Amino acid sequence: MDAHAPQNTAAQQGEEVQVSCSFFTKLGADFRVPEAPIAVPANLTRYGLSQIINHLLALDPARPFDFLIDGELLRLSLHRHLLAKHISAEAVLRVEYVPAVLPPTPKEEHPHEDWVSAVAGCGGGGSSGGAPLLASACYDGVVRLWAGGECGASFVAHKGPVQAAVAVATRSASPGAGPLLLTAGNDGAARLWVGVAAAARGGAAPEAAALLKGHTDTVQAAAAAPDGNLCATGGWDSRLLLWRCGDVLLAAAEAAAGEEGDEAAEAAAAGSKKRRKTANGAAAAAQHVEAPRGELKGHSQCVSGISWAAPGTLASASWEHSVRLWDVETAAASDTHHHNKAVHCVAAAPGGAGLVAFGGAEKALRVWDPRVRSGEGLAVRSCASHTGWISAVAWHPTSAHHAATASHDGAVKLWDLRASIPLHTLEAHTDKVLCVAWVGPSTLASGGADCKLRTAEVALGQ
Amino acid sequence: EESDSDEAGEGDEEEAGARQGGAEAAAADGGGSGGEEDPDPASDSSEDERPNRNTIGDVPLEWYKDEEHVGYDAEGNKLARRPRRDRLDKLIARNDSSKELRTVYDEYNDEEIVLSKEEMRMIQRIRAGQFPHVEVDPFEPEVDWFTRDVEVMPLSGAPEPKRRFVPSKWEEKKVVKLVRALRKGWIKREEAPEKPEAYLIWEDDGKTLDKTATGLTYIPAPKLKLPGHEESYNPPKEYLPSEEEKNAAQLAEEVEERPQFVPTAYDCLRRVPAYASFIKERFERCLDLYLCPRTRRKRLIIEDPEVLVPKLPKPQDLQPFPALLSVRYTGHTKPVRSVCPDPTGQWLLSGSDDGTVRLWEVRTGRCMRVWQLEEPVSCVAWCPSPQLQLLAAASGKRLFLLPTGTGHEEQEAATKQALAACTASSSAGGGGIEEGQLVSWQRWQGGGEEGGAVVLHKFAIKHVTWHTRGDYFATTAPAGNTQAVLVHQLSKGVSQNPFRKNRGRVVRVLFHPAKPFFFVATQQNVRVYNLAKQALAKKLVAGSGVITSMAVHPSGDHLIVGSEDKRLCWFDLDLSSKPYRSLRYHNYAVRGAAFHRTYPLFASSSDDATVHVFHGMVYADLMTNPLIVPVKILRGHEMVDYQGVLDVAFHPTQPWAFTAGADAAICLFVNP
Repeated sequence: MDAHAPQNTAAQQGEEVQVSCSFFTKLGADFRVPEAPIAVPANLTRYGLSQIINHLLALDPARPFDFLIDGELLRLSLHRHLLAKHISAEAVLRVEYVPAVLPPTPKEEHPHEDWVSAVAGCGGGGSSGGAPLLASACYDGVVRLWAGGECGASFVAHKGPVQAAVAVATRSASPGAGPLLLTAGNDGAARLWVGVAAAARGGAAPEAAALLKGHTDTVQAAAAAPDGNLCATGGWDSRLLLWRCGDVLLAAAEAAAGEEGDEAAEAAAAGSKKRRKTANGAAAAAQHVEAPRGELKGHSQCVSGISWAAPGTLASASWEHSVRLWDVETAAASDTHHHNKAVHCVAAAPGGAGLVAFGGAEKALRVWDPRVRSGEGLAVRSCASHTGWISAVAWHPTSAHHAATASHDGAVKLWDLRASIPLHTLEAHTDKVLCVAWVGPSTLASGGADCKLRTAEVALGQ
Repeated sequence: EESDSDEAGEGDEEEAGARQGGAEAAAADGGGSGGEEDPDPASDSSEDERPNRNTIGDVPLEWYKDEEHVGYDAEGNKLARRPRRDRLDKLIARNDSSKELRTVYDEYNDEEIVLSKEEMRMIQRIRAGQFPHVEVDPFEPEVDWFTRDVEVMPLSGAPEPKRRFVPSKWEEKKVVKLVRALRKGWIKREEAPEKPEAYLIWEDDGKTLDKTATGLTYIPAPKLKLPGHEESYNPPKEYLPSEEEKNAAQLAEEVEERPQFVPTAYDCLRRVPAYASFIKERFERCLDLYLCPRTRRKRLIIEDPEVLVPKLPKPQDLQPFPALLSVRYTGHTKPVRSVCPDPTGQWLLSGSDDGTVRLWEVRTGRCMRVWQLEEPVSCVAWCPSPQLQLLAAASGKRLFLLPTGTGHEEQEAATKQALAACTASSSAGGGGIEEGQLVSWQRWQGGGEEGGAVVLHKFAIKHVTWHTRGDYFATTAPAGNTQAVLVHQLSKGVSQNPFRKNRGRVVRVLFHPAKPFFFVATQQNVRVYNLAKQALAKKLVAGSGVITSMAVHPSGDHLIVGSEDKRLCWFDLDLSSKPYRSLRYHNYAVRGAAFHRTYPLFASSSDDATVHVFHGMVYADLMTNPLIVPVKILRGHEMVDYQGVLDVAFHPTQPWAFTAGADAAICLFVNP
């Protein structure tokens, strides 16, 4: 206490304490300031430091900045941050500045007929141009496709509720094809849909290209690899299955259709690999039934969340209180984190950053860094701000630090995981929020038990 | 008056014989005027004298001297004073009538009494010193009625018994015995304890006798405080109050604040005045002794109070257990009677008084499906078979077997097949129970296209439970008496009545999770039947209170029983037929009890709208008793019509608890 006493009094006196800071940035040359140390009052907060940078850069209009000290966001005053992190105020402090994230602006609101259980961004939006394309799935089994705020198509994807919907990237030659959509539901099946983009813009209804058949209970989670050629599903039968997906699966389906095209009627009667598509009652077309390519064995209870961390690495969460990282090539668990509560959702940082965020039957969002060896420090950080269970977590498609969470308390929160308090809170829904997804880099979509799909514009400013 | 009576006496003597008849007539007159019979002349009793007319008692008559009346008669009416005659009148009257000579005036009653001749004679005899009555003979000859002489012939002819003059043989024997015992030292004579020469005479003052003669414990009266120096008549100076203290005492507003006794100094004992509050103090002391109940308080000498606290682990060391209310499942409109999660933990079933069975998704709290049954649903149970997706719901006299529609295609097909098989023999819907049949298995088309089956009972079903394998299930209909418990087989569609008679009203039945045992809870006790041997294996006595709920430990060796007298009893079946632990934490009747399938947890729900969660660790070691620690009280429901939480169930894999409340809500409590 004695050691802290003079510092405390100094904090009360305020202006007298000065910290010499050296500001740097990874932004372009237009935003660089001289790296020479500047003495700034220690009681300055983010706003004060932002003013200094704006003053140095003579920016007009002013731009807000956020500040990072040793990789952590400054959320308190400079002096209190140093105290909390046990950083000496004597040495020159290297402070990085990044553009601050502005509060999200709510944009669209689409009422649905039933609870919105899953939402997936299918490209578009942001810098890539074009209206954002997104798919929303409901508890009545209907998937709706939205482009630019208009509902382009709606079709019954599953008998019973749809539990998961993800977009699958494709390198398809035809420009109109766009991404594929993988949906999974309570009927224990997952379906791959083609022609999503065209349907969203008012074209023909999408077709089920393949039926992924292997689960014996509700499929709770699905995720597609970044290259789109592999996907994984997990469900209440506690199995985590790997499937061919994307272009590979489409090619296989076409090949099978070509081979057995003559025997179509016969095959339909036999009920072997070919079935009549009846899901949406649309034109009957051949549907390829796909069997799983592999199984990742290890979970003993419901696999509730799947996320691809890297092309060859998969993160999965389960109700048996564990979060696992899998090496897809060898089908072995490379790392396991044992939590003390059921985990409901998981999201891995893009670009192989290694962080895994997960939420479960608790109010806090947990961030697991698998690179921390045991005994070297805290492997799991806790970010508590929600007042209900976290039902979904979505990592920003490009930023390694930003994530969005949806919670049963009706809020969607935007996090910079370098700080333990959220950046912004969207009181988006009046009931439980069940899903959240990024549509492109700057749109956030969420759906919930109030039967509404909402989108918000987020400018990360990078 | 004195002269009057003298003259009357003289006059009487003169006319004694001549006026006999007239005097008697006058005496009869006087008696008639008094309203009383003449007193018996032989009696000496003053009671027999003529009763007084006046009732004023023994008061000086001069008090009435100036009044119009002389007193009051027995009815309280005034006795008017008669006009007094003057001397002239009296003289004329004496000349007119010889009776006047015998007339005396009774001042008390204000009457003139004419004495008869007989009375006159008695007066004369008394004056002469003789007996008043002529008949009395003081010198009668004495008659000796009894004699003290010994008669020649005795009154009784019995001879003198021998025992009068022979010494008693039995007494002699007894004496011989005593003498022998004394000589041989069998009887020890008590020698008087030697008293020490000097002893404390007040020694046993502080001691209390264990028992008094009445058998009650003797408790000595509390002692008074002994007087000290300040109560001396001439106390030392330091005890005497100074002037300031005296003034302060007098100025004290409250009477209580004033000192009771102020030391005062007197130069000699002779000057000491009487102690003013002596009577008061004695009286208060008597009141203290009389009114204060005195009990003997045995002081416990506890060196370390921590020793008394049972060694239980702290609740936070016994994590995980449900504690936080996380999800509320709302949709029912009347009290929810029963909840049951499915074996995987994805779904939750609930049955309510509003006649609906609802299927909920556990994670999101969404109601996935509603079955509308006509009557209030008293119990729901999920079939534990992994091949089937089937639920059983008890509603009135009907037991519904419904496909849940949550499973895979194969499971749904198997369920459909099983339901079709069990109702194959029955007629399609409708109809009652045939003669001689226990129940009727029928098809039900009410719940959508999948249909279902109905087992129609004769009595209202209150509880249904599945065997672990999911083929057999048992229903309880407490009103059924001999048909209270029925065991049904799903695959064959048959029902049987395992007990010809039930001792008491059956409230719950349960299957043992592993062995062929069957628990039957009546209102008073629990019977454990061995189904293989078809015999009673054990009878558990819960004590008082009507049993309301029962749950069996997953190992099958322990049983918890909740009853209406607020208790939850834990039975160790290997240990005893008495409860191993009786947990009385609730304020109202216990309604539900449940064990967790994997975690060492159990819970009880009660009408006080709380659920108590306990850590109940059972050890494989037979020597170690189960560890029972209360860990959490779950509150989230409200009391409605004196009903609180009607059922509790644990999630099959997570340390979560579902509670069904009378406030129509279902709550999920999760571990913090």
